[in-house]
Amino acid sequence: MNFLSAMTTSSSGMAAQRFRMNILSANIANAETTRTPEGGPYRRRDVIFGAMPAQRTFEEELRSAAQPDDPLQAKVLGVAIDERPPVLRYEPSHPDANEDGYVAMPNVNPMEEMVNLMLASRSYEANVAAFNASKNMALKAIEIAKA
Amino acid sequence: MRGIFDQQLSLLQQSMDFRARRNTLLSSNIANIETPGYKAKDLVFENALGEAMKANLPGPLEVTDPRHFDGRNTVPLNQVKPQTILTSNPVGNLDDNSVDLEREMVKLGENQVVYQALAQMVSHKFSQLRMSIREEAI
Repeated sequence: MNFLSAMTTSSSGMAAQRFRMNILSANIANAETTRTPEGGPYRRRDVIFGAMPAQRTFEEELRSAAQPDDPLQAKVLGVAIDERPPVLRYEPSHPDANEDGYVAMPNVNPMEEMVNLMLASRSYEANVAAFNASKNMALKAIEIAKA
Repeated sequence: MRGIFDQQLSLLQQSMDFRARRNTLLSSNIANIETPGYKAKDLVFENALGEAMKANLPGPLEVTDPRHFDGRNTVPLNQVKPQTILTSNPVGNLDDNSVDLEREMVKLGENQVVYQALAQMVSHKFSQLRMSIREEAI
């Protein structure tokens, strides 16, 4: 089913971008977090995207081999931890300050996160537009049988 | 062998099928707009289809028997396959991804409009047939 696979592909893109938005929100929310379960300040996270062919059932595999024009879905392959060192901020009154008065703050740059957040939201919108295009085409095809 | 459903209808059907497949591929490009290393793809079809349409015209060689070869090397209309190509992107993205969002959106819109036009033509074709079956006046 052609339109269904187009819609599934668009939804895979939307899901991937929404997941990324969650991770970016967590980065912004924890921009000042100095204590984490794994110890030390929060470290910013990034999403790794990968293009994957859609899951095929055994019957589909039997019926035909994968074609070059098969759509690739966007999938989240994993979440990577940013290895940049924490930012040291001079704040002697802070309970987590070291003996020199510096606090290790998360390596989160709010500007960077905002830019990524905007990118994610625009990509999401692009996927919504693609989904609507598929939907309108499918509806138009149904109309042939009417009238 | 020409019933009420002539070659035109099968041509429309094939074009619509191609447009639907192209829509899937463009959706896939848009879904992977931020996947590093993803290469944008596209489908081309109309040239091959145009060539196949000429199959009914006489070829360069004279034919005096239906079994003769007319020297035309065309694929029959119902066997024309759309071709998958990689979209070239001279600007390119830093992560080796070749999706150009604007271009993909324009293609998506264009594809959708042509599909709707084709669907309209099929509807029209059927309504014409219906009209002649019922002996209606125009």
